[in-house]
Amino acid sequence: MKEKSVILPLFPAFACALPGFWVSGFITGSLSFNAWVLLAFTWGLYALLLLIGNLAGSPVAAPPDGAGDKAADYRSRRGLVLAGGIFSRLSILSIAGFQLYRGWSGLKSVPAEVAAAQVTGAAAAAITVFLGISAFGAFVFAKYALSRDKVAYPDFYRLSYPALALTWGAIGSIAALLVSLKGYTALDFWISRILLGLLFIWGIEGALYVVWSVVRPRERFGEERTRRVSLVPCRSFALFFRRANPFKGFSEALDEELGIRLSGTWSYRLVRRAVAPLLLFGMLVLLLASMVVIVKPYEEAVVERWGSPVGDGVLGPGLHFKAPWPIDRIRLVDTSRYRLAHIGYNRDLGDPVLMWDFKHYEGEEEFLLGGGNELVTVGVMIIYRVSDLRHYLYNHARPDVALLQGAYELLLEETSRNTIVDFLTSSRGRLAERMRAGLQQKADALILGLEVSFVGFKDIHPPVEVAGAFQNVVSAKEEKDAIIRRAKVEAEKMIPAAHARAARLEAEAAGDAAIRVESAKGESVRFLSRIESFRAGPRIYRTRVYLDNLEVLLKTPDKILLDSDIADGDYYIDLRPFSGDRKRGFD
Amino acid sequence: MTKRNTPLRLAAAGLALAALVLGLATFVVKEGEQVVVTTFGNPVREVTEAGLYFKWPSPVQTIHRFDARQQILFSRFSESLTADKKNVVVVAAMTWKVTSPIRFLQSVGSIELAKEKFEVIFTNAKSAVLGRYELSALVSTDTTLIDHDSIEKEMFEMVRNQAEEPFGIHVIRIGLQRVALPQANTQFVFQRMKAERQQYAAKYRAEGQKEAEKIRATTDLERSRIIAEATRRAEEIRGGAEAEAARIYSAAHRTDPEFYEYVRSLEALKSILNNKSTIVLQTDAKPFEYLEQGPPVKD
Repeated sequence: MKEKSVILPLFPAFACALPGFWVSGFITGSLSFNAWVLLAFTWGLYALLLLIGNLAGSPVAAPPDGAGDKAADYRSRRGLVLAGGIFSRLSILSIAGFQLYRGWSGLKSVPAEVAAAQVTGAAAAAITVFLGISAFGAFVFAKYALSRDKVAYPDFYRLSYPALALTWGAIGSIAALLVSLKGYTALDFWISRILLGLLFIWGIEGALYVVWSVVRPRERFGEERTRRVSLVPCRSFALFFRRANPFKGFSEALDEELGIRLSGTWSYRLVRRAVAPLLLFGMLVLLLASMVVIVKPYEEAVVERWGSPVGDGVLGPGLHFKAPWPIDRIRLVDTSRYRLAHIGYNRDLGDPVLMWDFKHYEGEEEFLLGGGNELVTVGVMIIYRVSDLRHYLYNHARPDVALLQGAYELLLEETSRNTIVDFLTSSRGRLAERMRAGLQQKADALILGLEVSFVGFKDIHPPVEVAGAFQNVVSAKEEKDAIIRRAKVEAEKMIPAAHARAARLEAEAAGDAAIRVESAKGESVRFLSRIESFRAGPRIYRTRVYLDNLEVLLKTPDKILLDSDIADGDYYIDLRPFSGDRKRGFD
Repeated sequence: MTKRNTPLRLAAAGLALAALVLGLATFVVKEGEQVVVTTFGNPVREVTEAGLYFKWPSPVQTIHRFDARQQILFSRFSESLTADKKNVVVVAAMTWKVTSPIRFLQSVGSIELAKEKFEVIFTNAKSAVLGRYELSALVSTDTTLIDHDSIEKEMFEMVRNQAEEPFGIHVIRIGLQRVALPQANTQFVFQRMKAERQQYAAKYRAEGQKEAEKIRATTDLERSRIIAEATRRAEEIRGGAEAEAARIYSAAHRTDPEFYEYVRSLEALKSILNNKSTIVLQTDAKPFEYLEQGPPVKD
């Protein structure tokens, strides 16, 4: 194992890269440090792969003549070679996958959200020391590897280029970190982009290499070539960090890998000769293309010749021609589409239910009302569009903002003189129309080049904090109605009941009267019939009546029967009210 | 090969040179823009008309572009004290534009820097002017007291005096945007508004009760009236019947008044005598005589 002796420096490098990868998860402030750690980690993975390959006995190149002991040895170990090939291809493929995934997701992330985090001074010091040591280590490794024999240790030699990249990346990251401490984060951002870009390119190269290692031609400069798999595909770094001329480096790398003298082929010469005319032609096409203007159906355009607008009018939708860039430039504006703006709040919260006592817009603004002690919240929508493109473009830096200020002024006129009740109960339609007309006047007076087509009150309501009290008033009104209505219902019931009672009273009276009259009649008939019977036999009648009556009359009362012979004064009668066994008798 | 290409090469070189000169020694001023040209930092030229202009290449002459269009700037959302010592938050907007770019370059530098500086001047002017007016000039139910125009005009004059000359700008107009109250006062206002609304609610409820009572009283009155009338009519009916009965009785009784007296007396006796009465009778009274005498004997 020839390479073993030179592979020893890989151990500390790999030992450094792996923990760095885990640490980076906790430090989010420095983008370039994180990108650098990813690069170092994958470098470490390749180093590990090389290490494993050598320890397992990497299949070395068979002698060119294909004879002798070594060839026999090579043939006897074919199975091992095949397994090693599959293992190394799979490993490279997975490392490349990791690089592509992390590189792409890092490149895709939005700078604003990641640049917000700041790295603290202590963390920055730690990272700086770590990066400094790593840069030095990587540099020493690269120099050492480059001093080795390129043919004898090809993979080891190749590993030196990404090591150089790591050195420069660490230096750049330190610089970016130090500047970002001063609040300047753009450098950090761009260095992280470069490092992630390198990672991504390396990933592409790894993936392509695996594909290529399967399909490549076996001929190399006319010699038979072994199917040896390179364990470290990183030619891309050689382009950036070794060669003075990337193009030449690229073609040499291709020569080496494809096994063809590309730089000697006719097509290569053709390309080299054609580059200049092609570039010129491309520029010419671009210039010609800049002479054509396509204005979309909803747009208008102004042509500016050396900055000054041409003619008086504007270009409508359709195809137009102009002088080429940089003489004529075009300003396209979406004019016919209506634009929407609002005042009184910042953002619609989008709740489909709009109730007074819930906040439905973010940043609702309160307006002081006429009494000087009431506030109201108002949301106004304005729909407008560009009516005069030139005024819109050249008169005001922010015509849309100026229009909103006009709307605020009109709203202030309304809020400053009304009380909340006036305001809540006033006709929104009339108010909106008055504001629309006023706003158009203001837009015309300020020459904003805008046409206001609609102003609408999305919302007029008391501030959320007091909305409940307002609703209480409404319900009190309802309650008032309900109480009155209940009383009326009672009245409605009571009067007919009284009438019914009156009718009953009268009916009863009528009944009584009838009884009275009829009984009188009956009695008089009885009386008359008594007279009849009396006259028929007065004596008998008298006796009968006398006895009849005596029977009845004397039935219940206490009776004292005295012998008519007892003289007056010979007896007494106790007529005191009856109590206990009243004594009655003679002395 | 070289000979054939010479004119082409010359043309290409010429073109490149022209592009270089055009790129370095000219500049375009766009509509809505103005430019100050400085020679080694010394402002030498103002260009306000749009078009193509020449200058010395970059290290010698540099250009500074300024927006010539109107700019709008808002005052801070800050508290001011009115003449009647009320805290209000007034936001106002100022429209201005750069009219003297050289002075603007020397005294301010850029539109962004101008915003910071003018905001201070503007907010200061706003507070100063509001201190001279009562709150009723800002908001009032009496429209004759509102005087936004004067407030705006005073702010305008003040800002113009302080900013136009030194900064090389022109103040176009100032407009009030919004009048609100500081956060602390807002809470009190909310409490007051709530109390007022509660008062209204109570008033409505009391009104309802009053109205209901009125309705009830009227109904009671009406009911009593109906029943009274009915009672009267019933009594009338009864009276009529009584009279009728009396007439019937008297008609009957007139036929034999003495007999009537007899019959009536018997009836009276019937009702007078009851079990509480004690009647003392002598044995010679009929029919008790029969107790002693026995049946009458017919001679």
